[in-house]
Amino acid sequence: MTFVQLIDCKTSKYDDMNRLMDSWADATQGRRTATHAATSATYDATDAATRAATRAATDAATRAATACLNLTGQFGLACAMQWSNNYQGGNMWASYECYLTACRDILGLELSSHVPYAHWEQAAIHGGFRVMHKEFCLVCDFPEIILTDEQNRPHCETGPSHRWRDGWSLYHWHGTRIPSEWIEDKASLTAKVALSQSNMEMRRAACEIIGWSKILADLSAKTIDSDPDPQIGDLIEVSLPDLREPARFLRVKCGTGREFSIGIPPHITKALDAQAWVVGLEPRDFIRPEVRT
Amino acid sequence: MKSFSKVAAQGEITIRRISKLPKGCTPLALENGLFVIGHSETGHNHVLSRTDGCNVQVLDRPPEGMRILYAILKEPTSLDHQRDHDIHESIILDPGIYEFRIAREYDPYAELARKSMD
Repeated sequence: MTFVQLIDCKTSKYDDMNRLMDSWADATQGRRTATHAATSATYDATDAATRAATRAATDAATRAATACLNLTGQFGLACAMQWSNNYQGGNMWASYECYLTACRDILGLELSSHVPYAHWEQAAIHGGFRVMHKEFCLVCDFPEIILTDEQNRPHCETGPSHRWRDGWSLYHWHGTRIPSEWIEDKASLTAKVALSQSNMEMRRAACEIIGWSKILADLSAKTIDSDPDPQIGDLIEVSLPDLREPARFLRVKCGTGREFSIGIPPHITKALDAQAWVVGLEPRDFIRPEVRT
Repeated sequence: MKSFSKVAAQGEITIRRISKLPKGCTPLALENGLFVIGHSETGHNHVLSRTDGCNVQVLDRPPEGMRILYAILKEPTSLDHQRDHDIHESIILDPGIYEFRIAREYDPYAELARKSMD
């Protein structure tokens, strides 16, 4: 990932680099028409899908431009204008390639522009992030580890979701990017840290990592209803930041004797009704299990 | 190995004996040669002990957040938890028709995020 640091470096050669970039953009205009042709031809065939992809690309470009301006001022803006031309994701940003390839291989939309596109496609299949230049190309290797959950979102409970051979890593919780210390130093992630996250997805991930049982133990929860059977459990209520009404949880023992806290919709008022909701049944249809393991 | 007549639970899976399969199901594919009834993020899945004589289906449109499976079993089959500690004891399923309801959970912050997107 060395090339990522290019936008951080300070140089007295801004003017030279500017000229180099302009000349490169002019020189490669013809070669880059291969993907453009494939894109525009396919655009005509599947208009709606392209709008979504274009929106994503525009958002990415806007974020990149903002970062460049903050880092390097006007020169950064000049870079940002051409950023998407030379910084490409390869297999790590393969959604657009999947779209173009699916049009050919799944929908049978054979276009002449798919022939030059095949080179771009191969670059996506065989390499990761890359920076293209007329004289060189920086290509990032595949990560040695990519771990995902059932829904194919990046996720790992015990380490990085992505790790490259030089040790550079990313951490995710069910698709949400999280700080490495939440996984590597779990003691640093307290209920206070979790609940103070302003980003909703990160707060949700943090609460899941800690476990609601532990979070509730640190807060003053109020018992709404108790069932004599500890495997049916107690319905408890607690005030959480940003929620208009108190959140409700079913605190219950499972067949192995461990205690869990399960989130329950706020309209439920009985522990037994909460058990029925958890398994998707109306309370009248719920029967207490004869056996729990 | 535990047995039951009408309803049992193994961890987050509630097992009910039923008389017939509902409509709107799709056959469940094998994963590594096994019928996985309940997945675990850490690989400690809940699986059927055999595949022969088992017809396992997934309900296409369960209630929100739910996953419901069905099985017609011709031979005695157990539901096993693939874990070596804090294990949920196996439950024996006699020949018959069964429903497996995988527990769901309400996330107040996910609901808040969903409402703010509406």
